[in-house]
Amino acid sequence: MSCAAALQPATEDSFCVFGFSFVLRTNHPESRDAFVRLYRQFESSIDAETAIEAVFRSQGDEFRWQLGEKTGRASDVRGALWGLESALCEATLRSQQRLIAIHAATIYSRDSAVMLVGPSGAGKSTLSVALSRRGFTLATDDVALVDPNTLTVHPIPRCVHLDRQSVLLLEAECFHLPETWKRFSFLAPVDLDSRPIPQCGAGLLIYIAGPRAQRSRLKPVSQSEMAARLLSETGQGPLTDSENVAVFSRMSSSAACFHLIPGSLSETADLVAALILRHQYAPAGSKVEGIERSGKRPWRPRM
Amino acid sequence: MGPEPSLQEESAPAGRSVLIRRVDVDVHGLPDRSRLLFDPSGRISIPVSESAGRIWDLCDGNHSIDQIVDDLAATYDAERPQIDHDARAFLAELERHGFVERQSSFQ
Repeated sequence: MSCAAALQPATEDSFCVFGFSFVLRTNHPESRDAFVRLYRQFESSIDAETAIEAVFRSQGDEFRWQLGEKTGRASDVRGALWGLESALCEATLRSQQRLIAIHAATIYSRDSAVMLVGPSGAGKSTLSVALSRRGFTLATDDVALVDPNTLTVHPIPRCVHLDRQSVLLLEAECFHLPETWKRFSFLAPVDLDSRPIPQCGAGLLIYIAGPRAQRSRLKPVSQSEMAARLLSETGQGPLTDSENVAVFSRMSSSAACFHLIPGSLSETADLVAALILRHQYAPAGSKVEGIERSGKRPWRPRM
Repeated sequence: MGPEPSLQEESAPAGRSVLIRRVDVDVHGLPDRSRLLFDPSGRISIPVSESAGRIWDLCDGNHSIDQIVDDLAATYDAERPQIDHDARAFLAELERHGFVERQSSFQ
């Protein structure tokens, strides 16, 4: 018997996340609250008959979830919440007809987006949370969509992925995780900052790659190197590889690009925060490296 | 692991050896003068500096490797042996990834 068939839903909420429509039915009020917080800007009055059904059910000692044909179960709320949330994100990505996904955390400073690009385990989530403590708005710690025409960034909100080590690092920074984390290990970006997300492109692109060093360092990288990094952090999508490369080249062209070698969390977050503020107030174009105007040009082999 | 292969270590072919860039490689010029070379068939991207971009331009079938080095030495502010070493290493990388193809032209 499917989850849906067995469920006497206490609640029903509809969402449309960047074109992916689903109806969440659950008999577990606290889980409903978690998903409503996560997708609050995507609440929608969609046609419940045509939308995909997402079910989260508490039954006895276990929790079950279902999204379309996909199902999962866990003995704790956290496991089931993370399972359904992950399935919803994957379904959102698969449903894209036009927007390109980039594996990147996205934070906002005033009306400018900063993307922290890097592979899993690079430290994007922990750094993003540490930056939210410094006054920046965390929109996603994992993946964002980019409009190939306007280059506007559309972060997909996810429950923030913090492991035990990340929590210890944040606590050492005197960061107190909200109650929602303590109960279910489910932290929505809105739990950290409820300011609305502006519609804009990325003015600052930071590629995070280890290994972790004694001292954190930020070094400018060329726009072509950043475009190549963005390409390495995207997956199958609606555009061809060549079209993706063209979009990423345009994104890098309109941004200041840096490589971050992380050190301690506190020092790294301070360094990135200072960069964001410096960039925010820098005159347009001041980050672009110039070519010497007279005499021989500087020799830069390869990169 | 040994050092990166360089064109200096390869035996010289008879006649004049030239490297020709593949026409189906996408080339994106960026405002900071760097370029992104992308091979759609192999999904390989190579970001290059303005200097390396000049080397790419000279892989047109009309310049031998020595002539490429001559051009670079006249254009860029570095010692010729350094430019020669770096240029050959970059050309070897391009050839290894299949971005350029070697042709021998007998004159």
